[in-house]
Amino acid sequence: MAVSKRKENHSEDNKQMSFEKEDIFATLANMLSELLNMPKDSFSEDTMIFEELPMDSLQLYELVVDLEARYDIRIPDEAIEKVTTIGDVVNMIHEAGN
Amino acid sequence: MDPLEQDFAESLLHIFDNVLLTEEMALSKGYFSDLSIAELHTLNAIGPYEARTMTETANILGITVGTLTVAIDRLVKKKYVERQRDTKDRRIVRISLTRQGKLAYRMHSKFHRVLVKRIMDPLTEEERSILTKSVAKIDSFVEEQYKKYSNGEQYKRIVRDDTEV
Repeated sequence: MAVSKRKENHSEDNKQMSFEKEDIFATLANMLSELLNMPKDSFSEDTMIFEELPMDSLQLYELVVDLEARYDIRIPDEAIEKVTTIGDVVNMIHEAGN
Repeated sequence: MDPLEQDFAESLLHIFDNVLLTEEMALSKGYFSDLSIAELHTLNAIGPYEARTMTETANILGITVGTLTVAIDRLVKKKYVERQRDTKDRRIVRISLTRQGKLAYRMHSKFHRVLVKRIMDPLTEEERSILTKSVAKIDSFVEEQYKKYSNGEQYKRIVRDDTEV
């Protein structure tokens, strides 16, 4: 199951959200920095999410739920299992918005 | 009952008991220890996305709207569920998961996924197919029995509107 835009737009914030890759990366770096209490420059597109970041499964789902709300998209578990790097997440959101 | 049937009956009962026990233990030791299994299943029925009406959710759970209302009151108090009135028809109440509710839903789904993965991974493709078909047959048989014993009463009771005035 692929990542998809939700049928109805429920999020007012989403109207201003950019689906450009650079902007998605910047948003993601901010969210990760807040979630994991790490400096924003600790993250790159090549960062391996499950191997390099000290993230437990609850934090992973916090990120997923917050990304869904922010971009008004659906991220099924099957899509999460395919993700390896931060760049994969950026591409996943970019594709959902285009 | 021949020995094979006897073994099957015992295994089936063990599965029912142990899945429930494991779910409960995982829950009590985890991040959402203030939730019961029944409450988690209510969160599952609401789902993580579009808000549902009380009737839709009660139908999914196979309970009455009255019973669901009590459960939802508790989940609202615990901040896992929120209620909104329909903007077009104020009599209709819709329920959806809060951020905390969505997290509990995701973590619980993970429990089920891991369980299935652990059972299926060691099996061959053929064994997986046989197991899936056999479990589907058991599922429909048990559902038929349930409907027969509930005598349709439940299904009559839950067909009512979900207005809360």
